[in-house]
Amino acid sequence: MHIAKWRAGAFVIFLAIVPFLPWANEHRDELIIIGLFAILAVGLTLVMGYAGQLVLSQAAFYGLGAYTSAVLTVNLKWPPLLALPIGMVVAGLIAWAAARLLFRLQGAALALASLGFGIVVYTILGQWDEITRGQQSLTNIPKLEILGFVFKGDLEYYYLVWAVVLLVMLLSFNIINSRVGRAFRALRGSEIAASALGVNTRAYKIQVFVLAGTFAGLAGGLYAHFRGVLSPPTFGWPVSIEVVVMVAVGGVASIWGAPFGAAAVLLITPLLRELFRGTSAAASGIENILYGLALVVIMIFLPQGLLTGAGSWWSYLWNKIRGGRKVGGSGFRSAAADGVVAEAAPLRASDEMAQPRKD
Amino acid sequence: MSNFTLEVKELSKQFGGVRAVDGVSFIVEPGEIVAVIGPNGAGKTTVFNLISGIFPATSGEIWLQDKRIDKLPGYQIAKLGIARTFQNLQVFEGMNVLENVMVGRHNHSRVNLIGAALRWPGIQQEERQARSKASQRLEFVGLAERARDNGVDLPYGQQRMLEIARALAAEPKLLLLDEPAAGLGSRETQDLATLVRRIRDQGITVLLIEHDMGMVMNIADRIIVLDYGKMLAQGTPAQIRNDPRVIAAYLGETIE
Amino acid sequence: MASNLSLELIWQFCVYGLNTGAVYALVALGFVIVYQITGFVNFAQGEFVMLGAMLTAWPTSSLKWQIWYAAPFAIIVTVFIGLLLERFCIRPAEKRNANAMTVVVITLGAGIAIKGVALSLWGPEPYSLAVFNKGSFKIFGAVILWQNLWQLGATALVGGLFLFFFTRTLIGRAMRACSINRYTARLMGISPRFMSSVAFGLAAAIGAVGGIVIAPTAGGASWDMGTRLGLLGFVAAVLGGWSYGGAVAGGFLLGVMEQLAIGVTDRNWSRFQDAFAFILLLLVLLWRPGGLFARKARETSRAGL
Repeated sequence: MHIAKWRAGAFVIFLAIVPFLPWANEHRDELIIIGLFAILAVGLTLVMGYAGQLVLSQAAFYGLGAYTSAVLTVNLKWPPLLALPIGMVVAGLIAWAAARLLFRLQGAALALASLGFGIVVYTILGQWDEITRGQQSLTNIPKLEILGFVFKGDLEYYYLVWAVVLLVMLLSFNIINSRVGRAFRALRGSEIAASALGVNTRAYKIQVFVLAGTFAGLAGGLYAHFRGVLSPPTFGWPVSIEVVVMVAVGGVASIWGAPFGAAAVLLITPLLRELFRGTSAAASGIENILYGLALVVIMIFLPQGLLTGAGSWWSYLWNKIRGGRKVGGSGFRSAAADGVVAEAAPLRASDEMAQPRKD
Repeated sequence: MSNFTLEVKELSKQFGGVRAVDGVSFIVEPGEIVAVIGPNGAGKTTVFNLISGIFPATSGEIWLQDKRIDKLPGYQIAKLGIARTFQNLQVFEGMNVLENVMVGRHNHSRVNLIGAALRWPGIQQEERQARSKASQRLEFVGLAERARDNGVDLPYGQQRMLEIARALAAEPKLLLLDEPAAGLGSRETQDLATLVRRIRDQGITVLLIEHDMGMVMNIADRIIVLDYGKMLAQGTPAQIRNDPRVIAAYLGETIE
Repeated sequence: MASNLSLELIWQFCVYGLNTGAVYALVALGFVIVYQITGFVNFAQGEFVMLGAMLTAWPTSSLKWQIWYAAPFAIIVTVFIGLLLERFCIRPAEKRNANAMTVVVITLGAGIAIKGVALSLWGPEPYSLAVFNKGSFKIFGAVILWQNLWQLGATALVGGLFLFFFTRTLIGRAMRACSINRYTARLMGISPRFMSSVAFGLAAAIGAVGGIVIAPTAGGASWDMGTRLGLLGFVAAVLGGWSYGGAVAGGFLLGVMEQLAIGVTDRNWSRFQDAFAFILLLLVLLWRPGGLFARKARETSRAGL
């Protein structure tokens, strides 16, 4: 096992007792939502932190999973136990179709196109009244039932959701520590070099995107049978951005950071809103300002996020104190790696143009 | 019966108004060490990029064994047995030295996403194998003690070695080295020359771009000279050393 | 198809489309400038549009300013903010060799923060901006507001200035050189940092102009108007293949297609109108990944376009 056993064990124990702790036992539904976002964040961490692609469409698959399961159970009267996985699969299939299109682009264009895709999905979910009841909310979604046990209380749903979180994290760790995971990480490091070693970069990008979308679809289905009611704004593109903030806070390439980031963002935001309760408009503005600043500051100074970033900043400082001159710093590209020597003043423009640009 | 021969025929590449490579043709026989030299901007790296499939050629053909490869995507060309290093290092950030080299084993493993996620039986075995083969390559280039260090934290010369080990881990039949001696001191360059010979002795054909004439003259069986995208001359080191056109190209004199 | 569709109606939709398209074109130009010079895509471009509109609408509504000095004020302040963005968000990232994805997230964050400030300062309600000249006239049966002429005119003016700037002036040619090859440009004495600032400043100015001319007919200026316009401008830029001419053409094309799609389809389809532009984008990506006017596969760059 590649996960530090004690860390995993401590985490599981912590999760088991949290719902009985003072503040938590009255806010279990918030803990459930944190868990759902943790699933979204893990998926996005794989795409962003490991494969290095920014996508802004997690909310779309969250919505697809939720609505598919809800519609199947409400309109067609299917049992939730069947509809939930189907919702997940539908999300995954649509993710596959979208990925084949989206990954014709790269970088920022990919990000914005994925945002556009999210808007398309959101619009369809919100306007296709016949099926989704659109803006009027889809109600009366039945509870999930497994082998006769009905998940209707907060406590049992909390354990269910966080069990899924742990499962998703486990799957992710397994992937990371395999050839597939290394291929993802190579993608982020240098697509060109990865390609030169036989990695089919396009196929892998699609795979990781579909995986993240499937996770999101699963979370969506869980949400639907928890809340019992769905309305489109829950799955709008601002939610996709929230997930990005969570991933950034927790550490772009850290699976452990995903639930941490989700918790941080979801717990701190209402606190801030309370703090700035003076003018209500200013309060919602604060949310945006803070998310925005968090993204800017973290991505400039601590791209590994607060969890791991703090650690490597520490070792960077430690090295400075010891006076050693490390070539390259932890987490930041070294000048040598950028080929400063090689790229210095090409005598003819044609040679420089012939270099594959990094990234 | 086909040899692992690389044949480049009338290869050309145009970038907008610039003809970076213009009608270049050559053959690389298995087991050779061939060096490509030429002034800066002569199009050498472009030729490498064309061979390894980073971008398509404007015209011409590239043949490997009896397969035409110039229209294939890069990763498929890699699967056919060509590996390369990069002039401006492309060491994978966020991975340690060993993991970097293990990426080179990508094609020698069959685990897919689902299998990895569920830890199919046999994964442990594959991981162990990948790890040991990668370690062997690290030993081969002399980086074994740095296995756990971050790839990008290595000194420049060692990052070069890392790239070579990574490329070797793919068990290629043809290795493209793009200015492997750039930025290396004279001792390191000698070590590199020895390494290249040992690579050839393992049965790998080597095609390298290099500016260090000492090293080139020392180890190359044949030399190809490019200038302004065109092939100027090719031959043995002795022939090239005395070729007036080559001398003129480097010194910038016009030829009568 | 709607039953009473006439040529006149279609022409009217086209006219609407040209107007909205004019603004998309401006936003797209802003994207393309920054991309061509710096290699990055500036996610906050839409917020420049919002700032231009807000900083004109608010003083004229609340402080009784006249538009002929409110508008330049808005443009100047927006340019200033654009320069700040470049200085405090882009440059530190570049210094640390941030990769393209990181910069995208940074500009995304900056845009969100700007939105938040706008919401905090001005509240959620839109501020109206009066049309510059009242009244309208007809061309071939389609109604055109004088404001629409301002919109088209702004784009034409900006487009023309650009053409002149980039082909005739020294700075313009320097910028083009920089975008083709940063290192060589630096050798020639052109400072990429300065060019970067110029690019952001120009993009901010153009965005602001777009916001100012569209606000009167778009229901005024509101804190969240930048997102939609930014996204649509981006789609236009992609359609146009990230060239200056392409951006303008893409913008107009997008505007017209959007309005036609909304206009000629009945309620069953037009309720999805928010998605039309992006559906068009996805379709174009299917068919021509390099944009509508792409010629051959271009080499990848930092922004990956």
